[in-house]
Amino acid sequence: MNDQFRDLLHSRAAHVKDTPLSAGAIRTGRRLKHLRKAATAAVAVAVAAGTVSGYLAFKSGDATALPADIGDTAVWTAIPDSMTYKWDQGYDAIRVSGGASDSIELPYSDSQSDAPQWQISPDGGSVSVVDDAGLRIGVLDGSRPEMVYEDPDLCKAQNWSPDGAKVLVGRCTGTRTDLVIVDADSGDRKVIEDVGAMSSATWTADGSQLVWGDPEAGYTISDSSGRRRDSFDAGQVSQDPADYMYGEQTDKVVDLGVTGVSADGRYVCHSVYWGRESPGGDLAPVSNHACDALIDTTTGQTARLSADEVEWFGEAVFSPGGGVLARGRHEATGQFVTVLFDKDFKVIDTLAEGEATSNSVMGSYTP
Amino acid sequence: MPPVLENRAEGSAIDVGRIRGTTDRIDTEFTDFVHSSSASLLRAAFLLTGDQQLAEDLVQDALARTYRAWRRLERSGNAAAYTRKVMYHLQVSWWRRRKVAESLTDSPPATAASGRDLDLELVLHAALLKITVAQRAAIVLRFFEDRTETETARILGCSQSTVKTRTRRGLEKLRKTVPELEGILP
Repeated sequence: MNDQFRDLLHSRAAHVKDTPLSAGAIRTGRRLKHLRKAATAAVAVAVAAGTVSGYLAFKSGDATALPADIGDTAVWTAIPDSMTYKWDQGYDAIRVSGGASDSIELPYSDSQSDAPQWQISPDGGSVSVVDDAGLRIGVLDGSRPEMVYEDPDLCKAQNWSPDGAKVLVGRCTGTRTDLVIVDADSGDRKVIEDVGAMSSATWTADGSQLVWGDPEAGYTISDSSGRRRDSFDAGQVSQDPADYMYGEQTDKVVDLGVTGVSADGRYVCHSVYWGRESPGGDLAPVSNHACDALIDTTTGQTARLSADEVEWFGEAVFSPGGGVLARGRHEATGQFVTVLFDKDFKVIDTLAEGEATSNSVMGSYTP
Repeated sequence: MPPVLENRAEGSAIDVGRIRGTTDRIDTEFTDFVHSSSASLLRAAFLLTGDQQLAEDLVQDALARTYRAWRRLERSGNAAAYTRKVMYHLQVSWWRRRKVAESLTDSPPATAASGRDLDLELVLHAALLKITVAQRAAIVLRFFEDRTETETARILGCSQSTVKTRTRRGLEKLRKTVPELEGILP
C-alpha cells in the first residue's frame, strides 16, 4: 500500500519543471543579508548620535515619544465588562459578559482549502477575515463579513489597529512583501511597499506607528504612511531556557517575532517557541497577542509579570497610556485568568475566566 | 577626513578584493548546490503548495535563506538538510503563510505516460490541498520523501507522536475525501 501511494505521489510530482533558481536566490539572499546589516548599522548610528536625521525621532524607552493627545480614556482602569475570545482552532468566537458566555460561529470550516484567517476587533464588535479572495470585514454576529478589499495575493495574517478603525494586512507576492492598511469602514487603503523580510507586523499600543520585521533581519518602525521609516530595537529574547520553563524541560528557544509594542516603544512582546526539539511545522504564534517574552528594551532584560496564583502569562496587550492587559493560567485550576496591570506592573484588576474560554486566545481587549 | 575614517577607508579598499573573491567562490558553490538539489525540492514543494509557481517561490525563498547562511552551512556540510527544513517551515510561516492553489492550475501533460492514472492523480492533488498544511507536510515527508518518523519529526521540529497524529489524521481525511484511494493509502 505504501508503495502504491508513494508511486502516485511521485507520479503526480514528476511533471514539475526544474527552473533555474540560483540567480534569484542569490539576489534575494544578498538582500536579506543587506537588510540585516543595514538594521544593525542603523541601530548603531542611532545609539551613537541620539537621533537619526530625516527619520522619526523615536527611541525605544523614550517616554516623550508618547503622543500629546493621550487622554484619560487611554489609561485602562478595569478589565472590560465584556470580552470576546477567539477559539484557537476553528472559527468560533466566545463572548463572555457578566459571567455568561455565548458562542458565535463564523460561516467558515476547517476543511476549506483556502484556510481563511480571522481576527476580532479590539472592541469585540467586528471581525476581519482574509481568504483567498481578499479581506472581509463585518459585524461579529455569525454572518459572512463583506469583502472590503479584493486581492488574491494577501498573506493570511492581519492585525486590527487599537482604535478598531483599520486593519493591517500583508500582501505576499513572490519574494516581495507589502503592507496594506485598510480602513475598516470604507475599505480605503494605503500601501507600504516592499517592507523586506517580515515575520510579524503590528501597531504600537497607541496606534500611531507600525512595527514590522523579523528576528534575523531586524525591525522597522514607521508612521502609517510608511515613508518615515527607522530601525527599531525590539530587544533580544533570552536564550536561557530557564526563562521559558513552565514545568517543561526545554532546550530550544526560538524568537518567532514581535507581537506587541508599548506606545513609548520601551516594552516589546515577543512570541517565543520553547521546547525539547527544534521548532518546525507550527512556527506561527498561536495568538496575535502572544507574549511569551516581555522585554524592557531600555535594559534588554525580560520583564516579569506576576500575579497571585497565576502560573504564567502567555498573552498581553499594552494599554495606550501605559499598563498591560495580560492573560495567564491559574496554577490550581488550569483555567485562564485575565489580569490588568498598571504602568508599574502592579495588579489593578483580575478576572477568572472559567471553563468557557479554555482553548481560546485573546480577541477583544477594549471596553 | 578624520584619521579613523581614513583608516576605515583604506581597510575597505584592501578588503574589497578578498571579499569579492570569497563571494565569487560562495556563489559558484551555491549555484552548484542549487543545480543538484532544486529538482527534488521543487517536486516536494509542488506537493506542499499544489502549484508550480508557488512551489518555485517557496523553494527560492528557502534557497535565499540558505545562501544567507552559506558560510555556516558550508562548514557543517549541511546545506541540503537546512534548505529542506527552511522550506517546510516557510510553508507554514505566519505572515507569509502561503495560500495553496485553489484550482488545479498545473495540469499534467495531456498524454499520460503509460501506467499513470491521471484521474486518480488529479483527485489526490485536490484532496491534498484540503488537509491542513501541517498534515500535508507530514504526509509528503513520510510517503514522498520516504522519511522515517524520526527524520520527519526532526525536520518539522515536533515530536514523533505529533508526526504520527498528523499523518493519521491527514490520511483519514484523504480516505474520507477520496474513496477511490481506499486500498492505496497506507
